Amino acid sequence: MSDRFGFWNKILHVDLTSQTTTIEEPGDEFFRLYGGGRGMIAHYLLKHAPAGIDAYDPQNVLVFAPGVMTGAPVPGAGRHTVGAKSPLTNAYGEAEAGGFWGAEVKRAGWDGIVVHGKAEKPVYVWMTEDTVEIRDASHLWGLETGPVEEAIREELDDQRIRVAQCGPAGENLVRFANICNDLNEFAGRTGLGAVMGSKNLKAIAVRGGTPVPLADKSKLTEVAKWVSGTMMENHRAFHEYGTGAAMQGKNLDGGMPTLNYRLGEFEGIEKIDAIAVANEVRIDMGACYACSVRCKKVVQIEQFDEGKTTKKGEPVAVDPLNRYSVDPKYGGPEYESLGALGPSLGIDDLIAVCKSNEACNRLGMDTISAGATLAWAMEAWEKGILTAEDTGGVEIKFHDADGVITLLDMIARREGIGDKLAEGSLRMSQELGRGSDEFLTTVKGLELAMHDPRHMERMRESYIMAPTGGDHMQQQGPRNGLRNSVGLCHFLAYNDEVTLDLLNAITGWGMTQEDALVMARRGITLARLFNLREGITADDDTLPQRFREPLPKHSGIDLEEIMSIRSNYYVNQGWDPTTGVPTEETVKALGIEDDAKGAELALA
Amino acid sequence: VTADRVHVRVELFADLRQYAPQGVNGSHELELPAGSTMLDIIEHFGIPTDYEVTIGRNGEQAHREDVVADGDEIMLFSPMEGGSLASLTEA
Repeated sequence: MSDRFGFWNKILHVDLTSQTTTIEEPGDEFFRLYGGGRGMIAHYLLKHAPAGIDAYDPQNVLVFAPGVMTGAPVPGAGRHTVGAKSPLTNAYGEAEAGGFWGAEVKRAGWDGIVVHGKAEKPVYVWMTEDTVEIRDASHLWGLETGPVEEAIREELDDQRIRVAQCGPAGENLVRFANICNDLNEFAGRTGLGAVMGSKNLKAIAVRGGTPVPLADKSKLTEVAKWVSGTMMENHRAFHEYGTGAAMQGKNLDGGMPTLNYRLGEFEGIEKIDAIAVANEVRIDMGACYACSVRCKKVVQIEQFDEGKTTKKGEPVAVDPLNRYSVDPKYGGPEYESLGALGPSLGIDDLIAVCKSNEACNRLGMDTISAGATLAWAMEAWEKGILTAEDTGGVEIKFHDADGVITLLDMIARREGIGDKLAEGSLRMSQELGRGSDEFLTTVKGLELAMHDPRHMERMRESYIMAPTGGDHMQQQGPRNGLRNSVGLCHFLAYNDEVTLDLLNAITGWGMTQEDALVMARRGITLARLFNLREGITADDDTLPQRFREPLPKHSGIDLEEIMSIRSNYYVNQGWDPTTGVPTEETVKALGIEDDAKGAELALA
Repeated sequence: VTADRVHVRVELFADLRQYAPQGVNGSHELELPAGSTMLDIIEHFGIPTDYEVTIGRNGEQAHREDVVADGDEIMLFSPMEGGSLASLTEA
């Protein structure tokens, strides 16, 4: 019997340049130190990616990192993290996804995949417990995500294979391309799909079947029963609506990002929130691995009324204007997508928003950055800064729901003005000039999510300090910092005690709350070291001009407050209060001296 | 007409749904003593009083101390996006 629980001690390295694979057994202490996820990604980036390289340089590494909790039979443990140097921010890039793929990687006996180099021709990786193959993907190149998953399952003759892949947007190096798994889950942010595309890696297909060994299975069973038994007390909103059920409240509060963050209220919000989705277009709720919460919306819309019914016998929604059908295999819009493709663009057309969301999903683009880049471009158009001369005659206007769907396709394929928009709002603004930077909504080049920091005070630190840029997931904090390393969903209402119990029940490590805090901070400091090495400085820990301006119901955020948020955060993390450079003591206390050497940096 | 009781309709959204009675979907009617405030409604559902709640009354934002009027359509929201309140509760 093994006394190793929660992981296998087996990392796959795939070198696409030489078409070879190696297995690393980094040892128990490695997993105890990094936990997987973010910790592991930052470690490999510091170790293998030379300082200052372009994100599309073959020497960039793309790391698929489940955590020690991923694949355990308990709600929330279906998460994995993907990371690389980001082509959107030139900084630490990271994104998390749910679904089944990450758990399948673990159940196939692997703890992570580090992709090096660049294949000469398109390939995909096929991995099981016994074999790893690098296979030709020429026939898959250019295909949307749905047909790719279907083709891989067909040619490997197994419908239960799990596929992570970049879509056409990733192939075309759209700087906010995502990595899709299970067709309806996305490592969405920071452009990791473009890194995958730059390596000519179309997909990673995996099939496993061996449960990860657990130290104390009964504890997990107990917690799983608690989640399902207390659904109405602890996860009711998620279970019934998923994300997006608070949009009318946000609107009343004057905090709903509207028309590129100029306003906080949108007339027609009730037409496009999760309640409208449930009433109008939703056919089901989907789940992630081992999770009873089932918070994933599945929507279906038919272009013409052909009398289709859902499996519950209810009629499938029909577009009254007979414009669009929306395929349920691509899931449904989360709050961020409803917000970024709806009010932020002045759109209250639910069917069009669902179509835009589907377009991003099958083409492989982050809905937040896609929507926010369009919102920025629409404001530029409205101000006359961006004109038909720049866009080849294409109008980029607020409230134009059908225009957005066309533009998303052009972006993914880099056609016409889509080629410029595919660079993301910061780069496009830098090229355009004409004062267009004044209404950017980016931090470190990453477009902010749909939570206005003027309305939500607690979002300020998240946007300013997330190593990935304008991210809303509080990943810079101890709770979600830990979850992003070990592979636990942010949405599960486990308190710190239950989270720790789960971590110990899975690994048998006997960690304390202090140990868990240190693990979270280790990941955060590792990502900081990477960013500092890449030339990101304290000056980048800020908010753009747009958020200094007031909203009708909320005041702007002044520079003094930004400075105070960042210096407090630096001090809390054990970094220099002015420069944000980790101190030698902190690096030593976190046990990451070797990693810090890879940062080639004078510590504070 | 005695004005010692008022009838309002209340709907709970997002994270606050856990405080809605089992099986209740959409809005439901409440009878309250005249002079009751929004805070009384919050307490009626057992929502902790330190919980962040956004109150809508007939489509406009209202406040805890506001007195409810007969026939009000009241919506209570967590300002957080579904479940993100939990995800924001830092240790």
